[in-house]
Amino acid sequence: MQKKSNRYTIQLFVFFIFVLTLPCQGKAEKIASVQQDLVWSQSDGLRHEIFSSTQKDGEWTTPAKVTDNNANNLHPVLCVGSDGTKWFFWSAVRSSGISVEYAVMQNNAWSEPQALPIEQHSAITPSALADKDGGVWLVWAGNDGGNDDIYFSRFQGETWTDPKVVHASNEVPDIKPEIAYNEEGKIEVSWIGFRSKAYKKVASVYTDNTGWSAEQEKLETEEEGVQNEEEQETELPSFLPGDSQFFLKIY
Amino acid sequence: MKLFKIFSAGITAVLFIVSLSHADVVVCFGDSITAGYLATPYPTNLQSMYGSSSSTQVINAGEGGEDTYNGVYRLEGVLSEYAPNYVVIMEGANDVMIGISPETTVFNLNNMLEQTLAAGAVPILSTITPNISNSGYQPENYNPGIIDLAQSGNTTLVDTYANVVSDWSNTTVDGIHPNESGSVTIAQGFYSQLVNNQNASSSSGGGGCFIATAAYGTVLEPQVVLLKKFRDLYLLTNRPGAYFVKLYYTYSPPVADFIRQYDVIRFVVRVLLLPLLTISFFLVEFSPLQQLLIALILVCSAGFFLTRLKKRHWAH
Repeated sequence: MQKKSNRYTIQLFVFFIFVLTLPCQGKAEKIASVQQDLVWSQSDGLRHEIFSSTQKDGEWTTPAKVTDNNANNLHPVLCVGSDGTKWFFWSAVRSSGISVEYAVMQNNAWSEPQALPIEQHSAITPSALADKDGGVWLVWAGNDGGNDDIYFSRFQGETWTDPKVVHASNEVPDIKPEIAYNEEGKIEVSWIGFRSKAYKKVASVYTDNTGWSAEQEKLETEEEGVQNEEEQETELPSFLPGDSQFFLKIY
Repeated sequence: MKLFKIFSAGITAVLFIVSLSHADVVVCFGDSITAGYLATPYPTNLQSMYGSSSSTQVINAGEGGEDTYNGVYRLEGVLSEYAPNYVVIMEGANDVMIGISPETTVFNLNNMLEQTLAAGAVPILSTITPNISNSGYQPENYNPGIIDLAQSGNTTLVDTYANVVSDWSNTTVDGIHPNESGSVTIAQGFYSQLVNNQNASSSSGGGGCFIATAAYGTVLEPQVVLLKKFRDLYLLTNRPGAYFVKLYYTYSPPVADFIRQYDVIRFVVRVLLLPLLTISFFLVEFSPLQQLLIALILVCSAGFFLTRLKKRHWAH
């Protein structure tokens, strides 16, 4: 009788432990399903270099130095293709000019960094998007001596398409582009343009038939503000310097 | 008697505003290098160089961390608040970190120059200071464009980078910001240029005002300086004005030589120049708000005077 009672007690204890651990298992599954890639620009004592780390199963990998190119490497961004290939872009600032450079991660190793094949005196602040078909879209602010314009290029097959300007020709700066899918699922570039004697946020949408639409002024929505708050809530690794430029990709 | 009182009250108000606006106001506009970091800001040293008895007032309008993209926005308010005579602009060190290319920096600085001129002030442009810290900006990318901008626009340039680069390691607190010694060196560069400008050595090119110089004796006389400012701000900035200045420089030297020979004629010319000096003072030394206020006072005074005069005429 005593043995039976002990067995019931043990069974009840195991049941309680099982019930109590249920939420933890859910959280663990959630953590396991989320992957985060972090890229950032950090001084190594001589100049700014680009570093990367990946979080999987709640653990960040040891930071890997991606660049070592005698330039100040700034404004890092990253996109992940549908096949899992990671594309990583940044601005390389040299006294001779500024260029967009990139590296690709395949088989858990970064390729040798290379410059975007364009002939511009200045190409700065890249922004990238991996589309649903496996292609990569890149936009940046570039110029060849005049004012900055917003250029885009796509990686198709094994090469980049010739850079083309997103907006109509003008004599004022167009800077800080960002490319993303909009609410309608279309590819949209937004940027800051000097319009009517002031800087304003404008945007253009891409469609296969007509290319980039005429730019429209874009007002910052409350939704964007909420998104920024969510980003701020994300816990960043302790090895990330407080004053560094970083780009976090969660997928 | 009442008319006289109204008119004299108007004149007194004008003189009061004149006395308020007589001092030269120098605004130093820029980022943390202007605002100051761990050392006395250079605008404070600039004010000290003028001395406590000077009528020149130096305003520190530096904003830590600011880039030229944000500076374009902020300058308008600063110009409106202080109504300066001179604006020292040293900005661009933060631009590369936030993704502003050297070409856009030049565009933004040019916009600031235009805003300054439109506000009736004289801009003084500066190159950005060296960087020997671990931070990412490289003034070497940005200073050539700043120098070109000054040269192409006939704007006064103080090459602060050149003034401090040889001894920057000993005159900086962190590789970016000047220490006490560096702050004095930077202030000295601006002080020399400002005094030159204030003493009528205009950066806008061109010679002096020959007839006024002949009438008043030297180019350093405040009346001659005032007329040069008027020329730089209101004549050389438009095509008809520039054409007039060209004609003036062609035909006025022999007239000036003649005036210089006779004291009586010099006195007569000085009297004849008074209306032009008054208008120049009104346009050069006052902010648009002050100009509007004075115009209103004068129009009202004149209106009252004429009304009373008419009433008196009808009464008779």
